[in-house]
Amino acid sequence: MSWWEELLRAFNYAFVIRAIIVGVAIAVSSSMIGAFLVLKKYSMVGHGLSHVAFAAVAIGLLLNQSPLIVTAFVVTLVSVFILQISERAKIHGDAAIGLTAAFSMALGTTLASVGGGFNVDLFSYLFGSILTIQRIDVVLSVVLSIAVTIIVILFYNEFVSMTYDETFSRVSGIKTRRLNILLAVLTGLTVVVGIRAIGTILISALIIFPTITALQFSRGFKATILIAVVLSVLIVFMGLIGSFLLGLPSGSAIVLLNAIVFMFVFLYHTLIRR
Amino acid sequence: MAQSNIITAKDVTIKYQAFTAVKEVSFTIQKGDFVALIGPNGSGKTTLIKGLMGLLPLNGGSIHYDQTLPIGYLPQHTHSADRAFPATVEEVVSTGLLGSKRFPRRITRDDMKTVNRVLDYVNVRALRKKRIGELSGGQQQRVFLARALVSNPQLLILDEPTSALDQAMRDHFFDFMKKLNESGVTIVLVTHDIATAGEYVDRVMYMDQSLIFNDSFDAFCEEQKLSPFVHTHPLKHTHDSGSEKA
Repeated sequence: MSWWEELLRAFNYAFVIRAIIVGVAIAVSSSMIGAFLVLKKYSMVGHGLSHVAFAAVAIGLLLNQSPLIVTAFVVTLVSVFILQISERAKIHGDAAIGLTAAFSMALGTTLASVGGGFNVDLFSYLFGSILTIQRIDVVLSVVLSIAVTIIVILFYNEFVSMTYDETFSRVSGIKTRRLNILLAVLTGLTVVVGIRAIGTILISALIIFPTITALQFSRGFKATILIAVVLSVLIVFMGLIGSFLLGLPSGSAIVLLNAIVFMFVFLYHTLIRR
Repeated sequence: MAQSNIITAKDVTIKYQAFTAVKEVSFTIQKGDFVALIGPNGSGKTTLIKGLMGLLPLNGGSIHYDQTLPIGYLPQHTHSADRAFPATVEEVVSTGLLGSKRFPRRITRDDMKTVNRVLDYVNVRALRKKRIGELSGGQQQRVFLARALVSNPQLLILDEPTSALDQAMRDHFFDFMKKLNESGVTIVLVTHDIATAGEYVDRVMYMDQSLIFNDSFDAFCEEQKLSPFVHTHPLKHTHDSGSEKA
């Protein structure tokens, strides 16, 4: 069977269609908030929360509850917690993320060891597996992604102002503290959306890569976000199809493709255009 | 006719933990004033301004000002070191309009016309499509001034606005401020450059933790017993802390 026939055959499978819908949802929401996180130098928040998601999935599996619902609850809570302790306690933001991530990985690993039986399930949440995506995951991912997109559109100008100059924004009357919490919650929700298709370990890459690729050639904040969204949707789509055709874990395929595109754009702009 | 106070600060004290940065400072700013706030490094000027703007909590005293008054603010050291920051000059200046808008704070086409008019005013309209990080320090300073001016403020608070400018640009900047002031805008300016600012401002406030001097530039020079252009020697404590002379 030629690769073209294989490709057409892929679209006959309901799980591939489900994976594409979830993939597009995560691509849109992660790249929409990615610009704000990367430019506020909060990229590692997504990384830290992905580790928290690992522990939350382990808790969900151990308690025999929906891992996504448990994760949505825990990750949202922790995202606000990280913000609070980095603002109020004498702990730098990166240190707060580092200690939360390390604690979460230790907790997740311990729970996996105690639970024993759910190790295989946990692996699929770590690196993403399109085979495991259920109808409820599709609904949850699409709803969360639409919510993230609408909120970013509604607060777009305030987010841009705060990302560029938080002090000026505060003086202008923008509630920067509330906006920071909102951004942390959106990040948490995006991590949750991405767990099934990308996996907890690699989801932060989807927040960072499309934005830093777009930043290589974009001019204007709005243009950066639009380019990042389009790039991310295309890469996730190709990564999912590629993972199906080549039998690779979907998360790894998507992240590797993101890295290749970034390297290509980066080299083009640093070596050829300059 | 009695002039109206638009800022009244009384016994303002601001601390960073055990360190008192501003101690019992009292003053008034009246409509139409053009005031230079000066003092040596670490004297509490920026802290006082941050207290005025509500960015730092007061540990003592009070500040009253008309909450409805549109305020333009130019923070200290706003320069974009991040060349990769993608926002264009237009986008940065348009954020200056958000404070006067209600949710969802949309930027309209008319707003963009206002933005471009102000960019024209500060002579950087040609750069409007450039990334903010690609501009020189002086160009960025004019963009941030445009951002402070775009909401048509009646009170302008500028923290070290000329620090990135050469002497020619400083003269141009102060000429521009004078015109704004003559059009009715009240200006409070934190500066080290009293030699240039002195020619333009109505009043000099000198502080070093406490407010030490608060009067005209001529009186300031008299106080120093020095030429107005020699400003490197700080004033000796000739007044009581916190006293208000004006």
